[in-house]
Amino acid sequence: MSFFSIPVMALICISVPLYFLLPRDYRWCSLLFCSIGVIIAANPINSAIFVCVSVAVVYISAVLVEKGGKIQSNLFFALGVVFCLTSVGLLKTFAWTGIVGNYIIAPIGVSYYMFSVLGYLIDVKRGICAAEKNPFKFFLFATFFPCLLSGPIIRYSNVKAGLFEGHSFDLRRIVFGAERMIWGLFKKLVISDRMAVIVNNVFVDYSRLSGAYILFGILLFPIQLYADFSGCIDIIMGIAEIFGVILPENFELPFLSRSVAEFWRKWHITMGQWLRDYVFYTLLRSSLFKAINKNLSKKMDRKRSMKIVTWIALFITWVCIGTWHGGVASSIFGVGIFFGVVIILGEAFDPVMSTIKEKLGIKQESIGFRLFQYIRTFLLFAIGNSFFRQQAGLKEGFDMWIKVLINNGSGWYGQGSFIALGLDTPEWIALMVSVFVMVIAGLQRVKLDHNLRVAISDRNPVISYVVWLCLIVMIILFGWYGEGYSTQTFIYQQF
Amino acid sequence: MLASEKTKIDNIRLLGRLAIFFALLTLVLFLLSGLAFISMRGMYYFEPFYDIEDDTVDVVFVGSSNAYCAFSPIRLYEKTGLSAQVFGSSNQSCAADYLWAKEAYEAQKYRVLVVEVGSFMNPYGEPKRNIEALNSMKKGKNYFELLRIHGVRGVHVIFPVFYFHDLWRNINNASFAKQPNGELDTFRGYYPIGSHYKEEKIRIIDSEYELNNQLNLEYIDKLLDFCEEKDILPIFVKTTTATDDAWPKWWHDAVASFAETRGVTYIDFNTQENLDAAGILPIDLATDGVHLNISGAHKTTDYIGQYLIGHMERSFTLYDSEDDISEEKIREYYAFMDKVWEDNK
Repeated sequence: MSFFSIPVMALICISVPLYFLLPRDYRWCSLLFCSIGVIIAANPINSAIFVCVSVAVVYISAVLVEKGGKIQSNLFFALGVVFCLTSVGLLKTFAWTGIVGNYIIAPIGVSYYMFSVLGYLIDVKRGICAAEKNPFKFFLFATFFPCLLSGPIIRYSNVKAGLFEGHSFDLRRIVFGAERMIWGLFKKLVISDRMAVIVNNVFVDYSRLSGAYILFGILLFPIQLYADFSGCIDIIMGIAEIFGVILPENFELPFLSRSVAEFWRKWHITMGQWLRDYVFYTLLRSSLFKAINKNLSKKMDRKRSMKIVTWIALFITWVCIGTWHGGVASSIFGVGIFFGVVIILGEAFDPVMSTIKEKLGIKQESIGFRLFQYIRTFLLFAIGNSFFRQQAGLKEGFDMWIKVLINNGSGWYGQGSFIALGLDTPEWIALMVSVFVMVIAGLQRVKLDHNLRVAISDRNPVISYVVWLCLIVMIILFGWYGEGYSTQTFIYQQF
Repeated sequence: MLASEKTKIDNIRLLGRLAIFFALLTLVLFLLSGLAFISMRGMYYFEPFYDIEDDTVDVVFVGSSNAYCAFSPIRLYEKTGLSAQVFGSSNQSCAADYLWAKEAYEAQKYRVLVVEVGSFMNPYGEPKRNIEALNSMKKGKNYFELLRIHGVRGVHVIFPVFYFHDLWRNINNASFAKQPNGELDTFRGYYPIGSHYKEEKIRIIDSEYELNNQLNLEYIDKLLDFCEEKDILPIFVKTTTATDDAWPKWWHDAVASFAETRGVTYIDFNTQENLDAAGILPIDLATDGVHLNISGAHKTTDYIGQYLIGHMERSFTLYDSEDDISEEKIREYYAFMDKVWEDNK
C-alpha cells in the first residue's frame, strides 16, 4: 500500500477534526494516531515493526547518553549511531541487490526518519537539545507522517514546539495548508508526470535516439525532478501546516543559483544542512583530520593545507550524498562525486577565473553574466543528474553522453518530430503552459519575498478565487491521472 | 476586541468565502462535465426518449456498443411495425442494462426487452461502464441507484469531467461541427457504422455448450425478475463478432446455461445456424470485426423482428406507434445510411 492510498488519506482526514476536538495539551496524540496508522497502512508488517524497534533503540540510546557517565554515554551513542547507519545501509543498499529485500522491505521514508533521529541523537550527545523523556512524543517526532513521504529531514529542536503545542483552530492556516497542497499537486500531476513520459522514453530508449533528443531529455530531467520533489514537499508542508506544524523549507528557487555550491544550498536544503552539520563539520573537527592538517602544514602554508583538508571532507560528504541517493555507482557518481569534484574545482580555480573576468572586463553583477551563471549551474546539475537518472548503470550514463557528443544524425531526430518522444501536440502545449505558470509563480514568489499565498489571499477575494479555481481546473483537466495514465510515484519517495 | 474574538470573526468570514468558493467550484465542475460530454453526445444521447408519447414503445434494446450498432429501431418499425428504443453505450455494464430497463418502463410499458449479452462481460463496479450510460438518464431513483453501486467512485458519475478530463486533447475543428446524425431521436439510440471487415471468415461458436460455467450476474437476475414482475418478454442476443476476445466460447456456454436455467430465449449470432438464418457475412461486420456495420445491423434487426412477430400472439400485443415514426423519418434514415456508407468508402 502506498502513502496515497484511500486508507491513508482517510486516516489523515479523520485526524484533522480529531486534532481540534482533543484538549489542547493532547492534540499531538491525534498526530501520533495518524502517524501510527500511516506506518501500519503504508508498510508490510515486518517493516512497521522495524520502524517501532528502530525508534525505540534511538529513544533509549538518547536517554542513556544523557543520563550516563562519559564512557556509558559514548558507548550508547556509538551503539545508536551504528544501529541507525547499519540498518539504513542494509535496508537501502543491500535491498537493491535483493539480499535483505527477501526478508524485510525498507519502510516508507526510512532514510528521512533515520536521518532525523540520528541528528537528534547527535544533538543530545552534543548537548544541543535535551533527550525527550516521553517515548510517545519521541515516536511522533521520529515518524511524523507527512515527513515519511519524502522528508524534509527535521530537527527535534526546530519542530518540537510545532508538534507538541496544541494549536488553536485557525481556518486561514488550514486554507493556506490546502492551497500549498494544491500547488504541489499541480507540479506533480500536471508537470512532473507529463514530463516523465518524455524523460522515461529518452533514458530507457536512448540507444534508439539521436544525440539531440537525448540531450533534450537530459535537460528536461532537472525540471521534472524539481516539479516532482518540490511538488511533493509542497504537499507535505501543506498537510503539516493544516495541523499548525511549520516544517523547514526544502527549496529556495534552486535554478536561480550562480554556482553549483549555491544550488545545493537551495536544493534539498534539509539534507544538505544535515550532512554539513553532522558529517562535514564532524569530519573537520575529528582528530584524524586535525592530524592530516598538521602534517600538511609542515609541507605547505597553513591556508593551503586547510583548503586541502576541507576539500577532502567536502569530497567525503559528497560521496555520502551520492550514497544516500541510491548507493549504486550511477548515483554515487552522478549526485555525489560529480558535484563534489565540480565544487572543489570551482573553488580551486576561483582565483584564475577572477583574473580572467577582470581581464575581460566582465561585471560580476551584470544581468548577462548572472544569466550565464544560472545557465551554467543548470547545465552542470543536468549533467550530474543524467547519471543519477540512468538507472541502467554508470556505463549506460556515459554511453548516453557519447551519443550526445558524437552521434547526432539518426533515429527519431531524422524524422524531426518531438511527438515520437511520447507526447502529442496538445500535450506539449499543456506542458509548456504549465511550466510557464510554475516559472511565473516562482518569480513572483521571489518578488514577494516568499509570501505569494499571503499576497494572493490579501488581494480582492475574487482574484484569490479565480487564481485557485484556475489552478484546480488545470489540475483536473491537465492532470496526469485516471485510466490510461501511468501516475509515477514521487522520485524521492524511494529514499 | 479580544484576539480570540477577532480570530472567531475571521474564521466565520473565511468560512463564508469558502462556501462561495466551493459552490463556484461545483458549478465549474458541472459545466466542465457537460462540456466533456459534448464530443460523445451524438452516440449516447437518449434524452429524446423522454419526449416519446407515453406507452408507444414495444421493444427496448439494452447493451454495450454491440447493441447500439446492431439494432435499428427505424428498420424494425419499417419491417414489422414494432416501435423500439436502444439504450446502449460503450462498455455498458449489466447494472446499467437493468437500470435503463427500469427507467424506460416508467414512461413506456414496453413488452419485449432484448439484452445484448456482451454487456454481461463488463464488470458493473467500474464507473467507466456506466458514466456514458448515465449521461442522459433523468436524475431519479434509477440514476441514484447506479451511483450507489459505485460508492466513492460515484464522483466520476456525478462529475464525469474527472473521468473524461483529457477530452481537450481531441478538440479540433470537427469537434465544433454538427454531429453527423444530428439529434439522434430519429434513430432512437442506433449508431450506424459504415466500414467493412476485411477478413473472409467469421469465427463460429459451436451451438452445443458445456454446463460447467457459472455467471455471477446479480443484476441480470434482477433484470429477469423485473421482466417477470412486469410481464415483459426478455430475450438474450449476442450479435456477431469475429474474434474470440470479444466473445469467448466459455461466455457463450455460460450465458446459454444461465438462459436455460431461467427459461430465457438466447440467440447467439455467432453460431453457424443463426448466422445462416440471418444471412450475416464477414462483410456485414465493421473493420474491427467486433461490431456490426449498417448492413449487419439491418440483417440482425430483421431477424429479431421476424422472431418477435412469430412470438407476438403468445405473449404481447402491438402498441399503435404510427405517430412516432413517420414515412418521412424513414426516408431521412435511409438517406443518412447512404451518407454513412459514402463517407466510409
